[in-house]
Amino acid sequence: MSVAKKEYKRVTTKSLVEMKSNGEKISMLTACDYTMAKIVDGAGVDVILVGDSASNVMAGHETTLPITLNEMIYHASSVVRACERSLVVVDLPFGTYQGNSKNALESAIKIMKESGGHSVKLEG
Amino acid sequence: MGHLGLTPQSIYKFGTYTVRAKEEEEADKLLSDAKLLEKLGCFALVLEKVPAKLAKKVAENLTIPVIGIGAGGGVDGQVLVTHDMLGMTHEFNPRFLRRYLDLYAEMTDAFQRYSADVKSKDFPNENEQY
Repeated sequence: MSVAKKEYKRVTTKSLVEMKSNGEKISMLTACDYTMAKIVDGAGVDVILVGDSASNVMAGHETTLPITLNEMIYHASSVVRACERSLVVVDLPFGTYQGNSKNALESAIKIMKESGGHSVKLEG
Repeated sequence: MGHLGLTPQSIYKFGTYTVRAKEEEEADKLLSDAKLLEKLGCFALVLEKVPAKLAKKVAENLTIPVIGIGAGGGVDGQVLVTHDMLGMTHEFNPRFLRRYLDLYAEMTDAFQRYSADVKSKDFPNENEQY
């Protein structure tokens, strides 16, 4: 079933750049809990995004704005515990990075330190 | 990782979830923003709901991978919201979404059958107890 051009035991940010230069497309899906992440990771999806869409799909909010930094950390740490291969990217939620770059850095560090996520994503 | 095009955290500024950067001016700005994000050290970029032609151009102009959602096949990868591609959500139907399952229907059926089995005393049966 695998159409990968090269096997990766653990996908890193470097692997993604390598995939691009090899012309191999990158697969990415969202997950915000352990059970879902375990299946997505086991299926060989390259990147798992702990998306702020958890605000919609998990919490039932109309937009992604209400989700908090601590709620994102809770979702991300659940996903990190499930992942053996996928690169975990965690969304910085609304209001935790737009103020200034120090604010953004502090939020990113808090996410990485407390959830174990491998990287963060921010809009704009 | 950066994120350009439709950025849902700015929904109250945009007003709608429609396709972004259809006009040349916004498209040019998106391309220069993407180059800036690469220069600033982003390891990848998400492009959400922009014309496929523009997304392809951005991907070709960057060394870092561009992951698209509603950005066509000319980019370096794809992302979907898992709950949407599994069909667990059924009121959200953008054109870019491919549903691999209809879990909303399947789960509803399972829950209805379970509930009916409990009420009819079919569940648990002799083999499902100690």
